[in-house]
Amino acid sequence: MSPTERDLLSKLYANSQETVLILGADQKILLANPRAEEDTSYPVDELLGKAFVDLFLPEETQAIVTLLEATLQWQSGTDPRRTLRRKSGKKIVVEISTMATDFEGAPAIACSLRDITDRVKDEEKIRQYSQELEKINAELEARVQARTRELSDQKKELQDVMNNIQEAILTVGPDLLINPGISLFAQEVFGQSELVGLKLPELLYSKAEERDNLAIWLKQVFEQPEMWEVIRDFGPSSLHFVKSGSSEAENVRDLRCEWRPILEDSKILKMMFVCQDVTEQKKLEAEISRREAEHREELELIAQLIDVSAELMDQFVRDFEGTLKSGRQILESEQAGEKSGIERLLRELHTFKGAARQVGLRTLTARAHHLEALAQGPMPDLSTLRTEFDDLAQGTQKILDIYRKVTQGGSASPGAGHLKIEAHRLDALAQRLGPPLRHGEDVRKTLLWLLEAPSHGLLENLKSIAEATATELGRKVEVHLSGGEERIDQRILHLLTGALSHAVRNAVDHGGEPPEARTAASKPEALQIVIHLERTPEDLLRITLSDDGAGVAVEKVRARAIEKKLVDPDRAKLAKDTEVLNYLFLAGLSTRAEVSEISGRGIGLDALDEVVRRQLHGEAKITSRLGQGTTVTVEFRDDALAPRPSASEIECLSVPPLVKIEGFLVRPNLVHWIDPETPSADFIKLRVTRASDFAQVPGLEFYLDPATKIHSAKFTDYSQKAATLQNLLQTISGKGQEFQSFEQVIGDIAEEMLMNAFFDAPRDAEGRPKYASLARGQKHILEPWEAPTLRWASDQRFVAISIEDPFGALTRSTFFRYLDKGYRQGRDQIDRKPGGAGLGLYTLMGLSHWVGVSIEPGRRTEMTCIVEHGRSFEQYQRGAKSISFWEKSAQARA
Amino acid sequence: MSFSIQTRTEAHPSGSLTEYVLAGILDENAQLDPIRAAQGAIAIHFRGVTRTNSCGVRDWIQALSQAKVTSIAYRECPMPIVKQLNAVPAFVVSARVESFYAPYFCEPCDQDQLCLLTLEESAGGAPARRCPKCQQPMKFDAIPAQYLAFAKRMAPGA
Repeated sequence: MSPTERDLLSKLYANSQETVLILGADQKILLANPRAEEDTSYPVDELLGKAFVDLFLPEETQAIVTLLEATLQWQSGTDPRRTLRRKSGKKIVVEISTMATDFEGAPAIACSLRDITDRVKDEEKIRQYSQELEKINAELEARVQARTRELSDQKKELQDVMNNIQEAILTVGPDLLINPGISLFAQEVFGQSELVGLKLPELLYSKAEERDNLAIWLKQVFEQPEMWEVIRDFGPSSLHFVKSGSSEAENVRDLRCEWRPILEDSKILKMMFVCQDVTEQKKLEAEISRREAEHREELELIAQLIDVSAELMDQFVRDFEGTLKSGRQILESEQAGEKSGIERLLRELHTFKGAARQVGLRTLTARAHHLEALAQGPMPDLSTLRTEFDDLAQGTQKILDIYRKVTQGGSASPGAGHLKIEAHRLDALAQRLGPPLRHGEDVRKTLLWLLEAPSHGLLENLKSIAEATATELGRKVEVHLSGGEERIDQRILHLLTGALSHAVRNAVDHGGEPPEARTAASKPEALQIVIHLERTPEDLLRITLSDDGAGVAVEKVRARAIEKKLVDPDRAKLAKDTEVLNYLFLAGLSTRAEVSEISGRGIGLDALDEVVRRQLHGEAKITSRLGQGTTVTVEFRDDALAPRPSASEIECLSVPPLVKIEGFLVRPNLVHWIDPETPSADFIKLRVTRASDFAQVPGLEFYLDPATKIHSAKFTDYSQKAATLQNLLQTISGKGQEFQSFEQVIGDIAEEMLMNAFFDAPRDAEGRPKYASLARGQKHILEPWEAPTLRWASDQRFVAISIEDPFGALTRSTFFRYLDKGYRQGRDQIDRKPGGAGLGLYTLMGLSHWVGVSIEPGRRTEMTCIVEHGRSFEQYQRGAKSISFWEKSAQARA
Repeated sequence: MSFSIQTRTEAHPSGSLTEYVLAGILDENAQLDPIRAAQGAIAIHFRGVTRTNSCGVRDWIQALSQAKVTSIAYRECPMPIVKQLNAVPAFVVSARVESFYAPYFCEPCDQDQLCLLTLEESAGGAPARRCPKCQQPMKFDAIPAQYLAFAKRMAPGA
């Protein structure tokens, strides 16, 4: 060890609250920290070179020498109690801990001394008090016996109370054995008269894994009582209990459980286990679910009726009655089992199927088809045919009943082609269909689905906008529509009408050349616009908007983007034309004043990009050829705005391309963080769940009330960070009473997010970090396509901030590795390499209640930090922490 | 808000004490050259620091570690600095925290207060404070075990 390292060691121990000594192999002191001077009253200079054993009483010399010799043989040791004689003559009691080490290239002993004099004195006092108490107790034995009898009577009364409680109540100690004092109902629930002395985990569970989990949790509860508030929810709250030796249905009980600690002086002496038998309640809930399913089926039938015209439906009703009558006659006639009878039945069914298909009644069409298949079989069974036919008749009747209900006895609006259901009537409608659904959300989800509309309306709207714009400008335009048969969520149609209207107006306003120029270019006098909607083989909806106008002057776009400082000039000069066209999606470029000279595009394209990419999880692209025209293409999923799935719904999905990891962090300073990459029994909760579709795992929106207004900022110049943060804080703060330092917390979160997104996220073509090693203080401008999007919003419960980058480079192991080293607070907590400090993710977790990470590798990463509103800083600190980690797997990517 | 450091020197029993008064956001743009060049006994007044970020924290530790100082005192540490004292142990370098702010709440007045505490009075838990307006005892608005963890760790005799 060099002298410099010696100095460092001295510095390391300078503030230690224990005496730290380094001893040589000869057991003489080589190094002492300042605390040693305080504990021994020898100046440090005098300590150096002194034999360690000389600090202690002579009668303890041999034991200390033995300890030190063992330490040199690499056996770390602790000697609980030795008497140190200070230079002043005063004696103190110390605890010695030793550890073998090297010092200045030779074997040495690191030795720490903890002054426990006060503790020893306290122990001695307690011993004396105990003796006195013993004496007093002996004298008062008679009184104690009397008191014991009294307590016994009270205990009996308590037992009587417990026996009348319809809850199973019992207690266990740290050994997990059930104590005496059990409610009578417990014996009934568990089907055993003798429960005392049984191990609770073994009573409750038959599987070893479940027993172990409960035992581990209870062990943690007893060993770390200060953690109770944090870990209480991780104990089982329900049980599916099978009475021993039986599997009959009546002996399977559903139990709802509660756990209550019995405390004494901050220690948990016992855990009280209280459970209720909710078997019957569960059965009732199952019945409710069954009825809900029936209602859902009815609502789905309503969906099939939506597009039925009144005329067609009336015709179907008449045909249906004729078909039923004929079909029944055939099946009840003597010909029923013969070939001619079957053929007649098939004709009737075929007619019926055709009528059902024509009016769009999918369920009936499928049932009729099934019955046809049965009848066409080699040996059709007559009784089966009759049963199936009756089912078909009942199903049809049910639809007709619903039809009459929703039209309130009348028929559909004549000629409208739609069955209109007003939003405010939806709940009333659900009521009319039978008992109300349990959750308004169920009704909402199902009926939102009903409120789709044909997409040709969107195309017609866009055509009208183009024509109106042309009239306004005194220009000629011809708009050609194709596609549009798809039904789409009306909210998507609304969003797209607004977003695409910019592109349409732009095409007419700036895309079209003067008439003489068009004629000279052999183009029709009127600007030709084609709007096409189709479904792609990848099941996306694609809308293309093409014109035969002047096209985009790429060089002007490039120059303007550089002039507006939206891009790095050196990079922009080398960018390909296709990349430069993407600059048009930058917010700073797309203002009317800026692009009016550039033949055609720009106005509102950032808004289009925002809607398509952000809200519809799709893509917007632009291609153009100078003099030949421009095409704007958008692609998106038509279920992008499907009702937000709750976490439990997503977890229930069984198809596995997505992996979600949900980890529950423990609080720093109470329990250390444990890396979930290497989960152990100590880790509180790590759940891996799967969902079917990454589109169902959005970012910020997932955590907020759907109506919440979301703000966003996208920029390439890192120096705009301060202005953006100011804007964020202005829009979020002042919305309600917030805890002290609320703005600091929110500002710190956004700050760390931006730094990560600007420096750590971007990757080069080979996937290597592009800017991670840059000094954070220097000027830094991203390419436009590298720009992250910062979003923020606040609803009644949460403030949410998210950052999205277009790289998807963050990995699960990186995420948890940085959290791990942050929470360990070791010497590697701060990165010394060029670039960032490596504290960003740790800081975000420390500041937030909930961190959601969604990663589509190679495409995007979105990290969302949630802070719960609250008046009190203490409440903010107490908020439980959790992580939701979503990662698109290789299977999903494929 | 840009970051600034003002320097002043006062007499000290064992020589002079240089005081550094900080204000603004301690981030990657904070110019810490005066701290790097500090010598002898110094005291840092943090009261004006409104926010920090991870790079600012790292730069601070590096700057103070390079200074040729004989003693360092941290004074009037606001909540963002207390957060770092608890979350990043190296942030303290070899300093002695003399005083810091902690959140209190007066229920009768429904009023937040930031109270200046000393390390000595806080090592054993949150000290009592009265509302300057109604004189009623205020509630310590944080979890003592968390907010005062650094104080417990650093207090003499801990």
